[in-house]
Amino acid sequence: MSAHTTGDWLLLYASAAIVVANSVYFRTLWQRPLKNGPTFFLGVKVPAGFYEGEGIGWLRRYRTLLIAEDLTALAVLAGILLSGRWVLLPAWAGGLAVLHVSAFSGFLAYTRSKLGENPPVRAAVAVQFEPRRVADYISWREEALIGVIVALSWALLIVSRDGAAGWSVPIVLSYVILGLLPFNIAIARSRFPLPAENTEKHQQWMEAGRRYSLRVENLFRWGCAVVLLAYALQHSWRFAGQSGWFFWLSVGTFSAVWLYMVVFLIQGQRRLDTMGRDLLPPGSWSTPFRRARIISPRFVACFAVWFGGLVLLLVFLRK
Amino acid sequence: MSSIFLTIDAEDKRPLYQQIVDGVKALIARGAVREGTPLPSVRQVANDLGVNLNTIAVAYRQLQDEGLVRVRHGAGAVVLSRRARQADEEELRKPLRAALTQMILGGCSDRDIVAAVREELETIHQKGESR
Repeated sequence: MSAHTTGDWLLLYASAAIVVANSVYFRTLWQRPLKNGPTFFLGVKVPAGFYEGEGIGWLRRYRTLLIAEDLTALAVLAGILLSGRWVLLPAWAGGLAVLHVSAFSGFLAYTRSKLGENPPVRAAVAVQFEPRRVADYISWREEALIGVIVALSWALLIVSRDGAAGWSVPIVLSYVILGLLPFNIAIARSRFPLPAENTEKHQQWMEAGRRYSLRVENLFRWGCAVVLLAYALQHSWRFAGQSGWFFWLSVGTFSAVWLYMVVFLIQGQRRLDTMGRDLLPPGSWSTPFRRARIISPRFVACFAVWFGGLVLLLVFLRK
Repeated sequence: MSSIFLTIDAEDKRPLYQQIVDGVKALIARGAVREGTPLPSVRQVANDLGVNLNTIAVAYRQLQDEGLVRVRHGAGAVVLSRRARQADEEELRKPLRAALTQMILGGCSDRDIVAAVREELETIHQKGESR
């Protein structure tokens, strides 16, 4: 293992942090189908008594999928570690996200096609009648700072031309960091009609959910930005590459961002679940003007493009 | 601070654009949106409701024709005034007369009608004050 640079050890640490975060969040994912109460399965309206009959099978299938995903990810991680090709770790992290989202989206689509074919239609709907801007949700100063960090990291790597620095690491990290911005804009813009009853509560719940998703995304991007900058510094600045304290500074900074993200992820989800109790999740009902949607088409399109790019990148970098 | 909402009902006999016109007028009348307040763009409202852009555009155009809002191309709309251009009292009374006739035909007594009108007025003023 002595052939590994401190940058590689940082990648290993970040991967371990991903495994820990994944394990902590596993409990939330395990209970996700039930979070809207006993008359919903993954946000799809189901008849009373569902979980005493058909629902048992649905829950089992969902949870088997969760376990299979995690076991696959762990097996691939073990393979990378045993082969010693640690530069593949960012690709593994990207692959894990692709696996999770693809499997969950696929299962959700399957659930909706089987259980939620005819969601109830509500005649009266409300919309928030106030103008909104993307800047209300996305800080352009923060985005500029993230952009500067990415550009600086690339400048350091290009100028130093360190042979030990693999390009796959900065490419994947930069793609993840910058590529999530359009996705965040789609989150900020996505809206659903609100039921005419309890409109204010539904609005507050959805607004909180929107801000929660953006915050989690950004913390994740900051974690990646810290790893990218530390990796670039360790491969371009001899002092940083050789000094132990710089390594631990990088680990400490990344850990702080990551820990904050995990705590926020868990606590925020709990808060949202409390807020959403007895409210109607989007996609569980239709309006006469629009069919039920659990996510907006713009959001799906952005995510598909981002994911497609990530998959292509992972395939390309494997060669 | 509470948000401002616009509600539409597919079971309402009025066309969709008219419900939007009436909804915006109600918001203006009770002071929920004041002069100079920007309104959401046609595209935003249409996307949020999942209806055609033209439906909202027609509603905004009617509000503009009545002198209540000013539509700025590419920059949304803004509330212009709390008073509609149609200031002729006889014109204003026409819908009231139609509604009163409807209530009389529906079997309401004069006393019930006066109480209902007073109640509706109070609701409008209360909603305005609570903001």
